Amino acid sequence: MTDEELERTLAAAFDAQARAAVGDSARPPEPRFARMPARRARRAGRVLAPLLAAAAVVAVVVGLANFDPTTNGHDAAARPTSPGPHSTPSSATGRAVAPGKAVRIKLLNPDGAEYGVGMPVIAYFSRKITSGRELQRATTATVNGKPIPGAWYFEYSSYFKGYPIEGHWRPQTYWPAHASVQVDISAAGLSAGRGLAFADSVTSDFTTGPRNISMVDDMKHRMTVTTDGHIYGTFPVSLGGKATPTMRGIKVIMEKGQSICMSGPGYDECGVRYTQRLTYAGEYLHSAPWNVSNIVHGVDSSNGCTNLLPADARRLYRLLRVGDVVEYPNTSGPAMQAGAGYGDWDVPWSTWRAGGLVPTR
Amino acid sequence: MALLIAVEADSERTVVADTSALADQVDLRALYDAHWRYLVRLAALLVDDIASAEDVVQDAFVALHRRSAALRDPEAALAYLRASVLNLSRSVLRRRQVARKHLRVAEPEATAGADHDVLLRDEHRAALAAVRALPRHQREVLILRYWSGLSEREIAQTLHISPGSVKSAASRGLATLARVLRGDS
Repeated sequence: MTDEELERTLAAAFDAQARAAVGDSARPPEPRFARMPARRARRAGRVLAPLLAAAAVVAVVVGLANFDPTTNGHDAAARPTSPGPHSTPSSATGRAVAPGKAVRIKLLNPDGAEYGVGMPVIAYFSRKITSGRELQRATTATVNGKPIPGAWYFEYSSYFKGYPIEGHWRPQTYWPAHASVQVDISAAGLSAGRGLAFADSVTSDFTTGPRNISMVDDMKHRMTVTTDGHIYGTFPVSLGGKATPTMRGIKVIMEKGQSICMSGPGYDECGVRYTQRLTYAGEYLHSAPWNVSNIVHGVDSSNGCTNLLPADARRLYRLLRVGDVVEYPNTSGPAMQAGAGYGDWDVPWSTWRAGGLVPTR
Repeated sequence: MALLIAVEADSERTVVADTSALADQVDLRALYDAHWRYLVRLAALLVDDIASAEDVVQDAFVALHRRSAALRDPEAALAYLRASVLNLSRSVLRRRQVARKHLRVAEPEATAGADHDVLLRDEHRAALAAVRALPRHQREVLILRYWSGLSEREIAQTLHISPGSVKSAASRGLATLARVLRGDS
């Protein structure tokens, strides 16, 4: 083989491998940077939008999630009529401030995110508040501009250091799909219980994607995914084995990771692909190339995770988003609790409305 | 958790709109649409598995997204992406080695694209296997030189080495390949 032949072979081999990896007709997935909470950019976008429209300029704007043309029209229409929380008469400045130690509020939900219809609004409180009554009254939300009722439910939290209580606010049923949601928590100055006063007012503007509801049937060992009422697909799964059964109830996708390390009794694996977290303890939807046989033959053998064939895991990773609902009606594990993940929908509405750890009524 | 953002009470007041800076920045989305396939292919050659390659490219764009204020020039942006893909691919390979060392369960780790190779011709498969066995540096240079379409100078810039080192790594790599492939056949 001459050097020239070798070079040609090499070039052809690389080319063949490259094409085998990604076909010429492969379409790029939604880029991850488009989902990133670009807060600074978003606000800049809010100011820029009218300017751009007026000038009818096709502007080059970097990484603005909100500049997706499908949502931009919505946004632009909604923004001018929705004053920020600090310009409303009910904001902190116009209100008698309750005396007491300051309770800071942090929100999990960044502005501009697109969530599944099961996503709760999640707030963290810097002190152990003892009353959620004023917070409940001060929290309002709209869906496409129309008010939607909802309620707070509280639990202890260890998510952020120095924020011992976590509150979730949700409507009675899942959010409407393809909607623009604005949540306004005008809590600054209000009482959080005896000797405690909220220090912050916070807002969250997000949108919801399609109504993606997945049902994982442990009898048939199948996961059926519906999107906006249509069946997207049915996928074979392997669920938790006898010693580590999968929890029963309604779960919500909490975070996504293309490739993570998982560890637990007897296993410690990196490079687990297309993972979508469902519980804090570590139940995920994920690709399990090493478990294909059990997935195909309906044998439950995982550590509680929902093992999917690699190609299926990849499809679902692309379809589903944080906040999408995954139901496990008949697995043999313990029942989901509010704090086991985003177990919000496992708490009956009548219980939810009472507030849990902190009374709201 | 990347989603996390503390919404401070006063943050809405500080509306920062450096419109002048935004106007002449590169369009990241257009860059993504234009170069996604090329970059995933490059990463796939480097890390030998598609899922990792897709990861690498997503991460590279996220990194660029964070730095986008500093980038005005699409050419420079593409160079930055290429260099990111190289660096991130090295990390993937390093992590994979570490993971292998610590693996207690025998089964997993969908590594080297053995399954993808099924689609390839024998001589190509042999060449790729030989390339995989080369030192990292030579391997990267050969991939960039015979696949990426970059000039020697651009390869040198991407790898942060001198053009002379590109040449010598390439000739050493080719020499090894010639020996291996001739010996095998």
